[in-house]
Amino acid sequence: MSNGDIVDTKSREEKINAAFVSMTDALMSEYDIVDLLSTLLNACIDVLDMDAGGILLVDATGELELVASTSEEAEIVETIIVAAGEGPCIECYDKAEHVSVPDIERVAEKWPKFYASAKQQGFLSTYAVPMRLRDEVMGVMNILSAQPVEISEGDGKIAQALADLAVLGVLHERNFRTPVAVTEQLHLALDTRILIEQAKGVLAQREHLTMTEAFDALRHYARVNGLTLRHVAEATVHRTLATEDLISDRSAAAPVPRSIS
Amino acid sequence: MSAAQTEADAGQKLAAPFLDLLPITGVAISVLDRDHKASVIHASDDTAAQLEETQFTLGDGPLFECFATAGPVLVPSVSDDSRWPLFLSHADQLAVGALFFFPLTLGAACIGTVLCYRDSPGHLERETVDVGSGLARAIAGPALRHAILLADGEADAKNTPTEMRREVHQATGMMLVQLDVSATDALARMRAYAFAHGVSLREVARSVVSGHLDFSTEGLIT
Repeated sequence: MSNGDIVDTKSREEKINAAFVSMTDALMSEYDIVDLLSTLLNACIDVLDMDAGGILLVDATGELELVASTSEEAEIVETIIVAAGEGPCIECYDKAEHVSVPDIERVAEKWPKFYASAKQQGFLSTYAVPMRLRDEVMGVMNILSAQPVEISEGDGKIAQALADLAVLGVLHERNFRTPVAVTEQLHLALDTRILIEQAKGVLAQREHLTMTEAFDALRHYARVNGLTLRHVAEATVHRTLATEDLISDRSAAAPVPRSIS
Repeated sequence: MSAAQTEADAGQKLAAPFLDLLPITGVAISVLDRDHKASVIHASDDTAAQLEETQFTLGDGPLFECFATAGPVLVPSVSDDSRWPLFLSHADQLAVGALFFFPLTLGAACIGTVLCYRDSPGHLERETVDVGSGLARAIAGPALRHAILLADGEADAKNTPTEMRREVHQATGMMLVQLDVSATDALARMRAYAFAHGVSLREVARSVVSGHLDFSTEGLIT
């Protein structure tokens, strides 16, 4: 468990501080929702000592769609998408409260598909937190661990606080006027995710990158140039931003440039 | 409830927010493919259905501009507008005052349009145009899912919704490079390929992402 982990160089308090600082940093600068939610996810994974996760937002038809994930690899994405159909994510969403599964063996019968997918990826426990706006749930954050982890009440509260902070950020991004504006923001976030996937495809094809490398390149370029991820993805797909430039920028900043085959 | 009834209800659900939030009389939702063949997945009344049909018959109308530019097209006064004379005279005969079109977009790819008509002429406020564009963006994924279900009852759609699958969008990005076309055309090509080969969109996408299918050589590599 996180608070019993003495090997870790950062103390629990330092991690919590770092998490809130990274969230406020993200909120203070030019950001878009996908970027903000990725920051939230990484902060929670770090504080709670978990291994992987994803954030899902509800779409126009009430389906949960994956907007941010710790890995771009298809297998982990698959596990979280399964959890949205039958598993901790949909239960968390329906009940509007956190769902804790310290040992996935216990849900083998309840959620066989999720169990099989998580187990195959080596995950032994999972935790889901609702993304709430007053009485409404607009999404779910789901995190997974390769260890059997029971999230303490205190850790659960921190995860919820970080999630609430992110929701406020989502609303803050454009002046929050009406309920229409809120759902508009959600749908823009889902659409940004689609643009990012399309941009990843362009980069993967042009520069022979894996999907994870492509995502990292997009995010890095956005950061370095003070642009939103949406803007960079859009320019990549419309081919107004050359993929060579995206890559050269990335290699210049990265300590180990990747040789392009 | 029959499957057809469920599908009809789903179409109505997609159209409902436009009627609730915009000052309009009727709405029609169409999903287009590469050859501009369309499936009208919902029309709220006969006038809306006829407006769509006329444009597809003529092969001309604001719908095509909306699709090609992936931006809204506004015709605040049907009787005073000189663009699309054939189509607009027909609309005028149907006692349509104003027409507004919003693109159904998935990221950079346009998959269809939403037609809104009003019996009286008049401009839409800029904010209202934003609401219309936002609503159209919100229903684009479900609309595509719906069109695929209507077209061939693709089994894949019963599982995770197609547009939720990242592979489809990644493959769109890869294909637009392979074919040197827009995202709209790349996605349409993928749909056409899936349809022609009797496989799901997701299967085609997966083959593209894994490198087994490359459209620059137009065929299976392995």
